[in-house]
Amino acid sequence: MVTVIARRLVFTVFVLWGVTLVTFFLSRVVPGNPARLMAGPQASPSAIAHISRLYGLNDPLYVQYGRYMRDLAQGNLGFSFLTRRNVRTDIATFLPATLELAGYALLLGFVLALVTGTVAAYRRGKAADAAGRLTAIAGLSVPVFWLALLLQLLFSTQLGWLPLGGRLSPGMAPPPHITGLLTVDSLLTGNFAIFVNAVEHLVLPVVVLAAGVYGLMVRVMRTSVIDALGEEYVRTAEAKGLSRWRVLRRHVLRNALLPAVTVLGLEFGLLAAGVFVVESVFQWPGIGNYAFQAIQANDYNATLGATLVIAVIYVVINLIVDIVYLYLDPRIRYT
Amino acid sequence: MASWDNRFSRRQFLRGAAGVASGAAAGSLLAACGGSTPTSTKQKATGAALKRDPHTLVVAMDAFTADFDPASYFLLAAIVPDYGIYDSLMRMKGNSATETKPWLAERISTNADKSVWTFTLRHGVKYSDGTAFDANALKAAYTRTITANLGASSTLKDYITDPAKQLIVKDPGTFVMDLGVPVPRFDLLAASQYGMGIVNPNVSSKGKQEGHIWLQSHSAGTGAYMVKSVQPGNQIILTQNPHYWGGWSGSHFKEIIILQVPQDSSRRQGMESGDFDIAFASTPQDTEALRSTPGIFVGNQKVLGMDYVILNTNGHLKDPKARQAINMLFPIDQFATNVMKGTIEPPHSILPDLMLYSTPGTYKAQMNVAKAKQLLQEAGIKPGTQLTYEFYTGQGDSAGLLLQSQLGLAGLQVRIVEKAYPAFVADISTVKPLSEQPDMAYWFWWPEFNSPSDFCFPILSSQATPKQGLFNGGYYVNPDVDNAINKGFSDAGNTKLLTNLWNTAQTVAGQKDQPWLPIGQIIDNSYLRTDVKGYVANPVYVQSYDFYALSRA
Repeated sequence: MVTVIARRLVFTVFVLWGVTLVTFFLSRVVPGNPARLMAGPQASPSAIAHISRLYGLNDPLYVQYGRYMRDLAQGNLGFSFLTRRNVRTDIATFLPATLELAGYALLLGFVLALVTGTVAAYRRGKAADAAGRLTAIAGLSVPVFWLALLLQLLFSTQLGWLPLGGRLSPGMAPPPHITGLLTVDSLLTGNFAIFVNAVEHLVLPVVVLAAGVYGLMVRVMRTSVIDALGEEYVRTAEAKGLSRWRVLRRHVLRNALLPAVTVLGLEFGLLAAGVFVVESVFQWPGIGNYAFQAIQANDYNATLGATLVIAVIYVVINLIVDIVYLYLDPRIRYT
Repeated sequence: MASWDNRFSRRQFLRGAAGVASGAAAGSLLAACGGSTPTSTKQKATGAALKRDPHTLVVAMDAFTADFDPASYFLLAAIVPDYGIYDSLMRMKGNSATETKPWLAERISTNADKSVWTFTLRHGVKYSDGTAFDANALKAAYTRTITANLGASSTLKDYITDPAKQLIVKDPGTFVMDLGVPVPRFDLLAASQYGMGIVNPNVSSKGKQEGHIWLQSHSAGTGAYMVKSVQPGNQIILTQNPHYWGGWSGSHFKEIIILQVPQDSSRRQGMESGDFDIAFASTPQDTEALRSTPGIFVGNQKVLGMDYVILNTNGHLKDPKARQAINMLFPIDQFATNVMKGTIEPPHSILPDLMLYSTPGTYKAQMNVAKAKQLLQEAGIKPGTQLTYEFYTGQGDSAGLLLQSQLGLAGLQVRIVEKAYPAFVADISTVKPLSEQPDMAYWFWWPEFNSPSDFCFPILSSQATPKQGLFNGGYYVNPDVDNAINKGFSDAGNTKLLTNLWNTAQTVAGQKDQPWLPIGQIIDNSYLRTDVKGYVANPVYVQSYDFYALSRA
């Protein structure tokens, strides 16, 4: 297993280098002068020239790229034109918010899908199956921004049950920073009021983000469970007189989870795309919102930093998925 | 576009859809979701109840606030927090566009030709860290602004090129600016929100770039509020400055929370739910709806800003007759009323209505399709010619659709091109081959202070085309307009001469050799809860709020 992980890590370095290369040069070919955007529309040409010189924007692209890679090797992600801070500081600020949001969304979507998909498979062709498939299609086909606005309108504006956006209510101080995850930090510091407030703020964006995960996973789980139910080892287990629950847990789910876990890893990519929209609509101060603003403002370093972080997370998650595979299916051996 | 807006707005659609979606789960909610107004019965009577600290003011802005250094910021979004943090020598008076009032300068005087200005400074003023403010501190602050050479440096740098010589400390309470040229209304410039904020000179000791970066998360002003915390792209919290020279007796907010809420619908919903006290305007449909929502006041003050469509004088529209024709095909009154729902006013000259030397009547919208066709024929533009119209995401789409429809009446085709803001800015402010230049492009503009020259130079001067990296994106060149702009900057206060020059410039640019299609006099449509008192909109201070003057009833 160590060899497998080592090989994947080497491969990861090349993937990430490719990400920096593509993102760096793509961001540079997009029209727009960040110095002009930084200085503002009424700034004089001399101020713009000064800012361009200050940040090395006039240097040839290969010089700029070389400088970026040198700094990156030292853990320096550069200076954000937008926030006027180091991109590493920005990412450290915004990433926990995204991880908290995406983590709960994945968890909620996956658990609901696990239950719904399994029930739908066991009740194949019946009302429960139809309901499961219908909700799955709805989860996949409803546009994220539309669902977000709809839920905001209903639960925030009309009913006043849940907050409109943000991570905490305006004026509420966050708990001392331990993990950056407000729900965790508030519990660790014993501040239950902040925990409740943070959960209230999480509900709508998590539900919106989880809808897509749920939609895809229900279909995968249903198909996998149906396939597993048709296998001879399941029939054998049932013939041996094992309880239905034991058959489900030991023989059906364990095998059905394999494709689900694969898809879950890939799902992170889709989730990252959804995060951009959800964070924007719910004013969620996460990496998606940060990247969205950075792209709009031609903030090269921030765009590159955010892309790199998302790529790292994606690669790491898929590496974890591969490792989980080894546990779930002992037959699999990487060669 | 107009018919679409009248027929069915996006908000109405969402509201209806919300009703349908919730109906399956909770039939009792249908009434609330499907109604024509999103406010509850209680809200209808009294406005949304306040469920948060009444001593905290919550402001929702549309844009990402990026820069809090007065020497640098040039964006409307940055003004909102900084107006409460940094003082200037003068400020605009009430809702006047032309009158100033003493602020950190108690008195202001000038010499005969108005080239040397003397400011008698207010006593007892301190920065938020307790450092005393005096003429030496002021000189250090403005020297930093000028030498930093960042975005807003040009406001002062246009007149003060040698701060060591031109900024003079007569005594700790007296400060002199020797501008070198006559500037008859320098008091207006001294009241500008751009480049005139006075920063604690201690910031300079941190280093030029380091000081600039430090100011992004700290404040160093003499203003009523100071930064408590900043989370870029999310929120800024201001708290009372204990050293504020105005004192804290009376009713004032203890904290100001400024949120970035880019989604239009979210800002409207936040006002309706009572989450926000003040919000930047949303879509015209939202603004129209909020005008009749109890508990919410929608601003209606004209500001020194204009929406317009740049007409490119290089390509198809080179002949002034062609540009006259475009102006005759656009129904400005209907655009303002039906499409924009009264959130803008039809323009009356090429200058904003409240600008110095603005002459109403020098631009008149005259829809005349037959005449337009004749002018296009005389300009050599054949039916079927395709023009391009460019706008950036979020601004200018409705004007483009209307143009497309109206120019079709004269047999012209319009290709509408949407671009991201950076790419759009590059298109209208950098030199491009003619084939890549749009024939028409949406843009809006506002001045640093009330000065037609300051307003017009970057967008109409022959010295401000994309060749110079500025925003005369139509490459407009007209000697009368240039003359008015240049004289306006430097003439020795000859009001009659300037009035004549600007009358001529407005008549020429408004009727004969038109640089653009003016589509709207901008109105500040800020949303405010009616229990927030003390708001006075000033036309020069676009979308700014004097937090110190505000309180909750």
